[in-house]
Amino acid sequence: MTPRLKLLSEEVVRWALEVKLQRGSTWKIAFTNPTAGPWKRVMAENSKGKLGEIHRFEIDEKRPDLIIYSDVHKTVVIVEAKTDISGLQNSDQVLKTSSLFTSLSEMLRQKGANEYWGSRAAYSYQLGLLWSKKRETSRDVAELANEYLMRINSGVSDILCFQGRLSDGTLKHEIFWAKRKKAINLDDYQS
Amino acid sequence: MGGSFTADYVNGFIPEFRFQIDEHEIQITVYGNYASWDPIPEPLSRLLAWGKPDLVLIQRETGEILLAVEETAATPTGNQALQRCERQFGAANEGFPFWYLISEFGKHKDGGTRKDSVWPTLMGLELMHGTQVPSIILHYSDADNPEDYSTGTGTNSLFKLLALVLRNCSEGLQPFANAKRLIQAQLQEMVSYVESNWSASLYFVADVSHLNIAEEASRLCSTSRNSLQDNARARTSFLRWPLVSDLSLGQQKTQEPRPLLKRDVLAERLEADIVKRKAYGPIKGSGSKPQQRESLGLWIRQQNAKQSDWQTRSGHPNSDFKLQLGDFPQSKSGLHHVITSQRILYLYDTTEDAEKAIWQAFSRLRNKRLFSDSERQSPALVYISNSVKPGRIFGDPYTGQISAYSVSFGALSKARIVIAYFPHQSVAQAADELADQNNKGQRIMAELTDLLIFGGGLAIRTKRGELI
Repeated sequence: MTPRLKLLSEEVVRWALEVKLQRGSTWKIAFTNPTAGPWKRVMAENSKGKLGEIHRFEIDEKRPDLIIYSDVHKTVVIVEAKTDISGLQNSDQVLKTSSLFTSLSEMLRQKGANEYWGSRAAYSYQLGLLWSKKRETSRDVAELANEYLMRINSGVSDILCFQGRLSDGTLKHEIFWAKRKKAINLDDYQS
Repeated sequence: MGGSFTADYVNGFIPEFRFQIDEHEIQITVYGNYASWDPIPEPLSRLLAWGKPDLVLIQRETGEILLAVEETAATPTGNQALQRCERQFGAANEGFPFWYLISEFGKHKDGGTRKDSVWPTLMGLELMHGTQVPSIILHYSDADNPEDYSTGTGTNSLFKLLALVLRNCSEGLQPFANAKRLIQAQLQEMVSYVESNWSASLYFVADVSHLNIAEEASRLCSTSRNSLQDNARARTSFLRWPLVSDLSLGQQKTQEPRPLLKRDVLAERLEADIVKRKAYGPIKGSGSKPQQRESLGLWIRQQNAKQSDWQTRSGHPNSDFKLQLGDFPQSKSGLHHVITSQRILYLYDTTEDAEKAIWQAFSRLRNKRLFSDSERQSPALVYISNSVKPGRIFGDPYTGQISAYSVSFGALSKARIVIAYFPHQSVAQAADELADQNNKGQRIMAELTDLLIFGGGLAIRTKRGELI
């Protein structure tokens, strides 16, 4: 019996995005927060392609759901994931994620001396939000972005959105800038 | 084994592997996030009721669980590996073979390395003896390469087993046919691990050398659909812990009384019973992790509020449970100790003596029959968790720790009555969770413990879900 996908949870949407990124060549995953797997570390490749540790989260330290980077586009995206957009609209979550983005991007900006992070310290740091599409409108998403942007003071002017949706049994991602309402292709990413 | 494979992503994201080995084709489809899929095979629903293992290998045609795997690299945080022991117990209890892959060495944030404890391994040996279902611990990494999957023997051994099970199924054989040598080697590693590492956690350990590894491996390999149905038979203990009266002079010397770090009515009695030689503490000291005044103050307010709210809702008369910051002594650095006894566990020769200690500590329980006559004559285990932070009593970290300790000390074979004491937790949390029959922690507590005692001496008989 073949199981059918009945719930587009944050884990499935994030997992599908990771598959998409890993099958491409432009973006790499520095950290993912699955329920199982390796100890919670931010990892990246040095100039010789060797993987090494940049940061190790403490057991009770706040963690994002995903950190991705592109050496082609010189960008790092720190992603918070929830099953529904309502989870991201929750005021406690807005505060928590904004604060985490600010502290984590600042910490990574200070890691220039780390052999495995190096020049990525000077990349552009963006906040990403990931969820599965329900009935939210683009206006809802833009308002949500404003809530986050009001609390982030690091030169970020828009929020990168990863919205998963099922289409004929296939999980697709709509990736777009929230305020500019502009769809993007990650391979041709422009901030 | 030789052969070839292809990998594809169904619908763009569901990994699907096809292995061609000799004339056999094996197809593996990976479904992540259990809750997202429908239907879920009935055996999987039964397994998930005890917690969610990281990997479950299911035969597509029959829905049969071939084996489950839990994996952790969380050794750096000390007792993290224990937190998943509830899944290890649940799998064995349901008759599902379980492999637990643990990083033997982990790098702590302080720069040092930490080593996995013996508890998952001890528990596995006891579970396999009692249920005759594989519950095998494998370790990977080494001291020079902490958390490295490619060092040590565990990862390779697990993948060899997975390949063999897949091949067996493709040939219509029982899952563990021809796996005796491999499982024998895994059991030998478990016995060696206990023998080499027990002294980090324990003053002395039950003998594990009497395990007939070849016989045990044969028994485990014959685990099949039919034998899985039969695992609820009478169980005996593999690990035999001494009574106080059996302790050697050397073992007695390890049982010096220890001062409490924070005064507590029951912990005082338990410690006094060590002196009176009614009980002993086999586990080495639990270190104190003093807490910040602000955090502790918040948790105390939360606990007191929960208790007060519960008393109002339940109509329960006032109890003695009210935490106060001043009761938590300050450490040299100005933080506050939450540890009462410096032991996490006491083994009593008889439950009757443990019951007397409880009566002396809590007047509200005096004259209440906590145990039956036959239970009173059984040995008992008293586990203490001093945590103040509100959390799920029937969740992490308690259920995993209690699973590991209670099974290792004889609860599986009902050889020992298990009492858990939470001096700083309001009974309100447990009382609320008891109402939820689907709560996995409640199942574990009901299966492995007999009495839970909360702050102020409010107690719950877990087998009946009854508040005393």
